[in-house]
Amino acid sequence: MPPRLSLTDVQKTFGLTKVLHGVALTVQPGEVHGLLGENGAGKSTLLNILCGVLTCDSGQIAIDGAAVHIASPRDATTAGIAMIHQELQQVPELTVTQNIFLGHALRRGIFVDRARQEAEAKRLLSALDPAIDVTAPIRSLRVAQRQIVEIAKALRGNAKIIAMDEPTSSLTPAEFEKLVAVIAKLSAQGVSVIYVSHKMDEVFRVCQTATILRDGRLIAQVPIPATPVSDVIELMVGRELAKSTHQSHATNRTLLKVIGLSRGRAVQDATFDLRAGEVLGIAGLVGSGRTELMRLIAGVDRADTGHIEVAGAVIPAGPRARITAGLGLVPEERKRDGIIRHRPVTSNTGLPAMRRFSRLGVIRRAMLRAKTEDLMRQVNLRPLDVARPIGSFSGGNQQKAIIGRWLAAGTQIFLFDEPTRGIDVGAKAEIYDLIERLAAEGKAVLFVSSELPEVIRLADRVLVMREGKISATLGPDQITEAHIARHAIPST
Amino acid sequence: MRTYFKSIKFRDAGTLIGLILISIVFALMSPVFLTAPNLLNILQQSSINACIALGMTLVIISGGIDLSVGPVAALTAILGAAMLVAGVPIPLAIFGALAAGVVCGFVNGALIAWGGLQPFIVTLGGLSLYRALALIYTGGQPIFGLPDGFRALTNGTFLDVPTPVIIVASLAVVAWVILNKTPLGEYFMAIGGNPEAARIAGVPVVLTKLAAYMISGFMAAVAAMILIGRLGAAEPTMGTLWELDAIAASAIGGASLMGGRGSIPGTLIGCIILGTLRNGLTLLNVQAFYQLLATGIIIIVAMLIDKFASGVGGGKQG
Amino acid sequence: MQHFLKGALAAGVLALSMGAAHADLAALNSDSEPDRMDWSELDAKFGPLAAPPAGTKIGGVSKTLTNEYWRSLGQGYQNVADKLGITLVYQAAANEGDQLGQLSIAEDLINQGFATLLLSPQTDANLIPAVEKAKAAGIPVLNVNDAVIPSAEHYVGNVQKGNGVNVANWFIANRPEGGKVAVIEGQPGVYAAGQRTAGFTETINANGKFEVVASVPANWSREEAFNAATTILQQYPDMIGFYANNDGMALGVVEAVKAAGKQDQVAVFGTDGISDAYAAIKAGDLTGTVDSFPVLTGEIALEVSLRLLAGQKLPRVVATPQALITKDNIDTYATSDMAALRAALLK
Repeated sequence: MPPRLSLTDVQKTFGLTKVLHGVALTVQPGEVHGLLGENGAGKSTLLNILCGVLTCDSGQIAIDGAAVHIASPRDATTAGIAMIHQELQQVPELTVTQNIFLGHALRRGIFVDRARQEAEAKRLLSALDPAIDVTAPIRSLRVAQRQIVEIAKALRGNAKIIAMDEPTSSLTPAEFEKLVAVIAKLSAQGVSVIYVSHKMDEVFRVCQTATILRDGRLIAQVPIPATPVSDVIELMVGRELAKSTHQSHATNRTLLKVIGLSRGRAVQDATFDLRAGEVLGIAGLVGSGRTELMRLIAGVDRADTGHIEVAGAVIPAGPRARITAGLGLVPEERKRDGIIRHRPVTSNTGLPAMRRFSRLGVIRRAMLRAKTEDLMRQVNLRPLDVARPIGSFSGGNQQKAIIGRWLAAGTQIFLFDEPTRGIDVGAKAEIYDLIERLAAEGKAVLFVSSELPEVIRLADRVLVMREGKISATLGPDQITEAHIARHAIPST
Repeated sequence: MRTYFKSIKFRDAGTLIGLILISIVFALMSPVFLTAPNLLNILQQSSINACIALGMTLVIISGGIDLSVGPVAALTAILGAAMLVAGVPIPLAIFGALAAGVVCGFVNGALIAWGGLQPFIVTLGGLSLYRALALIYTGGQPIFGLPDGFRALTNGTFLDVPTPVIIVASLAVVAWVILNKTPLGEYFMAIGGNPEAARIAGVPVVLTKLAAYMISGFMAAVAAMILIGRLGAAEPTMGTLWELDAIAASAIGGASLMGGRGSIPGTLIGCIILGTLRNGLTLLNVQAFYQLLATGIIIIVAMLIDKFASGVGGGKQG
Repeated sequence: MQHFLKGALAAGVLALSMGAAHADLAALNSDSEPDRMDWSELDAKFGPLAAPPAGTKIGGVSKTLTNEYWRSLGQGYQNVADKLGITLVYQAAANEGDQLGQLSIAEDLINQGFATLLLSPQTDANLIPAVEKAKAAGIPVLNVNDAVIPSAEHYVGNVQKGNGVNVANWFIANRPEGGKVAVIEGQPGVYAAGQRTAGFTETINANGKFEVVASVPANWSREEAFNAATTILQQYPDMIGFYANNDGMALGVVEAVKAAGKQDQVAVFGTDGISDAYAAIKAGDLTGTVDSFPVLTGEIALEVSLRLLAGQKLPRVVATPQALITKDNIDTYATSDMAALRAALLK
């Protein structure tokens, strides 16, 4: 039997940069196939070629043994290829049914046959998640349900191959389990799934095979879970990642005191200390007030009551006063809150400390550039080109540049909100190293993370948040998944 | 100096090539076009728009827009002229008029930065407000009889170059330094590129916005002084539609109305392109309606080139 | 700063000494300038127009060609230019607000070897630099209707005040019992608008039986005039007449009067004599207009410029014809034959 999908010798060049060097991908009917690689490895380009957003310079695509030509998204749909994007492409105001039939309405004469559409939508969803109301507007659904609707839409178009790009980036563990069940059903129906994810545990749960890309080249196709995780990671990053264990650098000197900080119901009476050299983790469910607390401490939002003290002095509100006092926030939403996309790395990192790089009101470009290059070498920015717009770097490298921003500003208290969100495995390890180095240098680190292994790896102490309140403070020997989960989940 | 600087300069070079192409066409079709007096004429005629457009470019880069420049110019012109006619010493009258422009800009900026109102709406209000003040103050009548000593400041030449061109060129250098060499310039581009990220990174957002609109008000007042110097009179109706010419020049020069991007040399060349079109088409005895047509086409072509260029340069990594 | 002051001072002294050379010319007021004559006396006093030298080039710059008045004026220029075989370049700004654009056009024409320039400026001030530049280049400039350049040496145009006086006299003659009237003004601050309004208001107030209940600006806009007239008619249901500073606004007033159902009670007058106004008078909608005969004005202006070029010493102001057009005399004046029109006006 020919494979369901076979891509051979796919080449793609943007301008002068070759991003795919003869990549191949073979997927069997009903197979769940992982597509793995670091950011920049060529996964997105390959997916975009597959679903007709980009066309390859050369190479062949065959479905069930027959060569197909995909020059547009419409060609891809016709060929039976559907894509579930990371950012779902739906119209929030339209109903589930309308979204499923968007652009392909069932008609009776010149009118849309609403009854038949709804019946069909129900039939499609009954196998996936019967709880979804087909007449509800999409905006009333949770992300996980919207994903299911998108899958139903793919099945409506008789998709034989469904590609999922980072499908779990905003799902809870329970929702992930549901998705696993849906994928199993698809697989049983003979639909092939291409699964793109950075999370190794997920890949090992759902995939039978994985294709690994690195720097636009095909590195290997490996069976899963027969291949050890460490081997897969090594193939992805091309080197062995040092496995380090937690080491505390905490001192007795209190650097930051947070006293009774509150804002509405989001954050209620947060009080704790942070010491020099300490790495303090904040765990909790999404929506438990972790991000809000970070924003209050960084002065980005205004507290209703409470204040913070740095080295014994009360610090006024507002980001500038907080930055002057030695705090710096590395936000979760890098694109929205972190980077100035079109500006070079130098401008992004130098922003809080522009005056420090100026003499008589004029920026000393050479000094700014030299300092930035020095810092970026320390954080291992790749490529090390500080004149390039920051938007052209991968997520991990953008994160390094933002960390460099606070290094340049002489920040003493680092606030990280989900420091490794959307960052690939290799860069993740580098960020961990950086955080540990900061602690070793006597700086204080406060970080929010949803990934328990990350919390366990990095934190000296952990604050667990639940419904806006700090529900527990865990010492070094209490930091376990079980402890954190017990304090994070609401009792009712 | 890698990609970033290359890309900006690349854009300016594109604008310059556009200007050169237009000039070649006119030079071939009109023998008068490429003479020194005519070229100086173009520069002089472009200088008022350039003065306004310099301020406008900074505002646009910071993510705003200033629709009130024309009426601010009219109001400051009226105030300046009234002081001059009343016998206020020339330097003091000029200072007063420029200060009035800065105050108008401050009012715009305060409503936008502190009031959190939309720049488009605030300056649209300013457009009516400042015009009304100018009309009310004068009762609609022009003010004639500006002292010759004042007029000489703008009607002279230096090395055969008209003084307004020198004044605006000097201001352009200052604007370029502000944008490219000072923290304020970095702040303009940061708050225009991503205001929330800039705030979190410690950029003084309120002060930066205020500065942008105050500079724009100042430049409008300078343009007003140049114009009333040339006219020898101030009229409350002057400055009609200046904002559109200035926005057009900024856009041709590569400023993005989304904020965060723009170039001082590009804006200057954009002004000269508009001035050259007007001049060349007049020399060829083409009616004003076709000049509008040509201006429209130039703006749209510039935007298409921008779109095309950013499409080629920015392949998503993945 | 010291250098700057010194420079300013030096430049000031220089300008003063230059200014003294032509300081003897008083600021022009085209309606009241004593050094004037009427167009009808030109041939009698200065003889018939002599043919200009071959290859004479004349440049004309007017407000905007979106307005019929300025297209007609250009037609008048062109008529004479064609008859005498000389070259005419006629340009205008894109719209009436474009003051700098018009200045640029005028400046651009100066470098091109025109024997004389006929300028119809947007405002009293916006073409001053062009006038000064032309003077420096030795090119005579003729100010043609209707904004007045204070430093202009020669002006051709109608007596703006006369427009309003003509209409006021019609009311005094045809509505002897008096009543309430209103003025719809052009753009505030424009010389023509002010003079037309003043001519009407002063004349009709002097009669004593009329009351000007409203005098509001509608900025030359038909729509604004419609709105203003509607409001006035609501406030004063017993209005007997409107005078609008131009025909476009008068036609807006006509619509308002029709909407109020007061066609028989309210007389409406405009100014300029555009073709729409003629049609409306024939249809009985518009009571009348003061035609200032733009084509003929254009012809006279070009003739005057040629007389000046030939060295004739004309007065500073030459007044062009105007006449009150109503249903009674419309057939006499509704002609495109300029010779016949001249004859009718000279009668």
